Amino acid sequence: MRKMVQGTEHEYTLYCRKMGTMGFDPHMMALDLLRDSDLHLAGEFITNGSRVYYDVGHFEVSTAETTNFHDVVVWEKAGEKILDWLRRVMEEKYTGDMKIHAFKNNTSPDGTSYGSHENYCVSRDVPFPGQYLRDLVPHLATRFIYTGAGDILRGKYVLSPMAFLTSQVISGETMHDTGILNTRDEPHADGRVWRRLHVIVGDALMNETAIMLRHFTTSAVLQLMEDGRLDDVPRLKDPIRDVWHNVEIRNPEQWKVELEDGRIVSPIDVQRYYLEKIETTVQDDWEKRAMRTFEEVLDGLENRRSKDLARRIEWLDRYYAIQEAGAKKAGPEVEMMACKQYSEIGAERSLFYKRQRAGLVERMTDDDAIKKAIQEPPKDTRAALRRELCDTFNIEMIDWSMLVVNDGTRRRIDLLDPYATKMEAPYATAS
Amino acid sequence: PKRKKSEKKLEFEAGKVFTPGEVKEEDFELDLESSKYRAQKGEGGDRRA
Repeated sequence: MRKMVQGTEHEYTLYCRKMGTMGFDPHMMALDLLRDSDLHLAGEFITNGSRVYYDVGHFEVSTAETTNFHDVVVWEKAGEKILDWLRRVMEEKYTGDMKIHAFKNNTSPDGTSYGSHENYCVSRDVPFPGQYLRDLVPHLATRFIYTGAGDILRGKYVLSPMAFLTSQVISGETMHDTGILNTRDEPHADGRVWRRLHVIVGDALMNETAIMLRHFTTSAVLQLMEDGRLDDVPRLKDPIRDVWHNVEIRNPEQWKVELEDGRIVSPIDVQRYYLEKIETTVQDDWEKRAMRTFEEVLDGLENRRSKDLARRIEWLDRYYAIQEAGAKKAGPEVEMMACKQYSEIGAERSLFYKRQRAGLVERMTDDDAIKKAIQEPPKDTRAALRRELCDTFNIEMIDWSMLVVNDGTRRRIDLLDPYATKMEAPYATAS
Repeated sequence: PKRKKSEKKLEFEAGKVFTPGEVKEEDFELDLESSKYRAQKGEGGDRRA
């Protein structure tokens, strides 16, 4: 596989009973603390290359640019841990006995939704939307069988809240009437060379292996699409209808997808098509390991080995966590508590982290890598160059793809290549 | 081209968030607030019923 710049965005939700009292908003306070900490770099950027800001009542973290499916997991987890640190600082300093909850999920108990997005840097040569609709949509419409986070919505357990809430095949909207394929076109790079594909149909995930699998498969499919190697892709007759059918069913034997030629297949079959194509692209050990995991997950779904699969599939593990909580004390309120508490990021009250400590879920990185990623940017993308420039100059303005520096002379530096770690000559493209 | 780093008051403490050994599993319990919190609408779909 080639390198492919990619990252994620998460709208984290903070809650405290003190919210609203005297104007207390933990989202804003967390941002103020971050700006006043040694993790702050310039503007909304922090030292590890990520961007952190307030967005419609949420604490949003956009990860630094990474080039592969394993680094993106590490930097996503680093963002999660930074917020967890800020949460603890706020609890110690400001809220006394009142807890501050921080959720990494997609809906609150009343069903209000908020986002978690993926971004992939794709060659501008691929015709949009035509080739994406043909080659990518069948993947995005079926991958939630192993990338879904699970959630309770409208009284039902669903495999993927974001898939459940998607209502169009293609759309430019992100707040309502959202699509499997999002048309946003803000490349944050040289738009003649790259499109930044904004994927909004994915869930906020806690499980490292599930995040890894999502990015491994999706970036591989995008590269196959760039290479024109998906001409025989299964064509779905009505993707939204099938998403809505499958997303509410936990039994893989009842999943179905109708193809344009009238055949009814399983979403597992559609994913097996991609698996066989991806198999021809894997090279290094990371890719071979991810490939094995992907194959084992599809085999497990087909053979209904759900206990094993729950180590890697979040919707399954969350379902088990809810069942176990319900066995001690039944009722919809207990189920909702367990469902939401699974996604708390604080280790001391997160059901997910309790289960990770118990060895019930499979990790793909470790705390040392995440600790390093809290402080440092990925070494092989523009994030490293941005950090170097910020450590060198006084910064007046900063964005993903440009800086305005001022050290007596005010000048703009464009960073239009997300893969560039060095200027061609030191700072020579300033203008 | 060195920027002057302003004095930052708060230092990141890894120990606050990477302390699995300090979590007392026996104290772990479900929290009613987890089923009651509210959030502002963000970027997410709103499929009609």
